Amino acid sequence: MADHFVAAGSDADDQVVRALADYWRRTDPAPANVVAAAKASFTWRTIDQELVELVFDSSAESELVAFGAAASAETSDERRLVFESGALRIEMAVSSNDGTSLVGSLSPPARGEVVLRHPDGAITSESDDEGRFSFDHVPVGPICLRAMRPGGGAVQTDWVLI
Amino acid sequence: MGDDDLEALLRAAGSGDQRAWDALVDRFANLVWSIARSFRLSTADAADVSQTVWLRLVEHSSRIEDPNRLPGWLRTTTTHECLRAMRYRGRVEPFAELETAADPALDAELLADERHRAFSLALAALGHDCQQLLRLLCTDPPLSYADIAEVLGRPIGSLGPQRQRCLERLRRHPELRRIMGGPAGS
Repeated sequence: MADHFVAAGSDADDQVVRALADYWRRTDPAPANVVAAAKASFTWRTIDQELVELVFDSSAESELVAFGAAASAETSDERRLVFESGALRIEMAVSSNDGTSLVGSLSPPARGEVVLRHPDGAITSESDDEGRFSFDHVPVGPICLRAMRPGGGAVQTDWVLI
Repeated sequence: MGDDDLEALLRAAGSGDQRAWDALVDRFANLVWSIARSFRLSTADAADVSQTVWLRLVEHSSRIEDPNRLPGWLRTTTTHECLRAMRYRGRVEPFAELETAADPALDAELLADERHRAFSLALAALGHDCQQLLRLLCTDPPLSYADIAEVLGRPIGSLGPQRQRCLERLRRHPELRRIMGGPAGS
């Protein structure tokens, strides 16, 4: 391909954009391992579980909060996330002091198994009578939580990047 | 790429067809990647954002009723995850073409290619706003101005003039001027 960038005008601009597209296509395409991971994501597909969607993420709010009085509280290492589906609410707080740990709660509260899924596997924990649970040594990357509804039936949160 | 095709792929993926899913990934992996990289995420963080977006789509794919909304869903989800990753992890890098050049085979190819070197240097001399806009103008599949305005959170009317300004500055760079005069081999 032979491009000439002779004239300054919109045709010339379009030519530069085409050359730039070619530049990025060659120098920074989605790496093969990233494409492979995206394809492997499909193995995490579930068909029988209710999805509990992300409704709040403190890391998406921090810019706003930074202008308010709560700025100092929000500059801690803790990140808070809330997921909801109907009356079911799952909260988690992720902190990265001394390794990444996660504490959370199910509402309405229920005792039972809580599973933290990540691309390389899963970690299992138990919620107590008040619906509280915790995980230590959480791998950094995408994660989601699975739990049981108080009445039965599995639920899973949206995947989030921690 | 027809919308019928996209609809069929989405439906097949929704019923558990891995090959249909792979085809969706092949079609849109570069779009997700380019948006993440336009935010100056490192390759590691861009990889995490990409995987998060695709994992989330696994659970959401059956909920996307209109297949035309899939590119928009990917764009919006990727943008949100990038902004969160930037605030949560707080790591961005300057213009990041050197990482790719660490691959020896690619390195040799790139060094042999004057045009790529010229573009690297000329892009590195631009501010991040220009780098990001230009990257978003070059995605495959392409983004419209309305799409880009949404990613950047800026009014659509500002993009045309900015595009012109950024391209003019890019072209003025000595390295690019040097190769501008004549044809360059590929």
